[in-house]
Amino acid sequence: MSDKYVNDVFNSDLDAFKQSGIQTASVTFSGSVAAGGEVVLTTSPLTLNNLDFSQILFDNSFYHPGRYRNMALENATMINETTRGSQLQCNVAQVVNGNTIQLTATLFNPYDGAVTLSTTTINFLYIPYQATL
Amino acid sequence: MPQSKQSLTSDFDYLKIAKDDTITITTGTPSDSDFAFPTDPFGGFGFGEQGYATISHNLGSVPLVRAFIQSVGGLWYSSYQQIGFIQIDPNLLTLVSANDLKLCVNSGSHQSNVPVFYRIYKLGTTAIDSDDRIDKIFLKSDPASPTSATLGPCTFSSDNVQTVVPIPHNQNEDIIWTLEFSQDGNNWYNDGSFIYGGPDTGSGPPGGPYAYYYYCRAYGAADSNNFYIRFEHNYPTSITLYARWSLDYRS
Repeated sequence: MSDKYVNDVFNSDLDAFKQSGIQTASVTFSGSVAAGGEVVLTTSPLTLNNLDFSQILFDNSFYHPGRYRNMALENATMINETTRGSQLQCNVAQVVNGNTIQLTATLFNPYDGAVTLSTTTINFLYIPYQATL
Repeated sequence: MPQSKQSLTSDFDYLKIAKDDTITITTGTPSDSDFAFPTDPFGGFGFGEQGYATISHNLGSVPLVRAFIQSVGGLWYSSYQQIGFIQIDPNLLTLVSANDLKLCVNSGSHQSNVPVFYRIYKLGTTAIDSDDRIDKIFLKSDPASPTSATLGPCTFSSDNVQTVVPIPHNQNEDIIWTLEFSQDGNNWYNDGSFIYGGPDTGSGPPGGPYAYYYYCRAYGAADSNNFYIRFEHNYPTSITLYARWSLDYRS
């Protein structure tokens, strides 16, 4: 095949980063959590499409919708519960397996009674990129 | 036909630098609700100060942002505030929306003129041209032979074992970096994140909940002549961790 239409047209000394698209995934907390119960929500798998680096951002529909935090700097967010009027910590993490990545959100109810969660969606942005050096 | 100055174009997916700068932030009384509990569980040490900067990028969508803070030991950091026994104080938090980047410096006590570097990228599929700014990577780990370190066993899961691998870059100037690490050399995780194993079943009642889970992690730091990778774990056995990285210039 001719390389006339190959994407790499201009290649003088571009030791830079190339992006590989943005993928999105989300989880939603709602309903009640039993006393001492743990809820683990996992996104559908996202495809790892390069061998280099990535950044994962997340928002929180209850506390900061559309305003994304960096998972490398913060690995938790809060989920409001209406039974006692408190907030429960929700840890976010990544699970990488071969050519897929999933994001998990884990919440624990430390109380001796069930609590009802405010419906809260956590949206993740997965931004992979590649170092071309 | 008018001449276009955009005469040379490239592959369509290089990350374009939309905006970057080194700024200083001075802390004071916390006042931004985006970085206050419960909106931000890491927003402040509970007793300290915060300082802010808002950068308008007006890109219309959430961009990629790389941000770094000069903190403990004069080193630059770009990951989670608590690394084992090291409390990164002051530390950096970011919040990015379709039009703005907010930077927050948390500190346990008053801090003046804390250096912060940020770089905002325009994401998209348009070609770069000679007017665009892109990164200049000058060093990268060998994909076939990532940096590795073997750490000894950790006696208690509530504790941890760490080791630091220095990588001289000898640029005599502050740089920025990207880092990922792995427990098996195949599955890679971001700088500062955790790879969790199972629980230490001795740290709670039968069936749980358990106080401690086994984990490993790694994070980067840098000064003007060295890049440092700190590896950490709390497993009761020795483990080997791997890192791949690239270093690039700020300007």
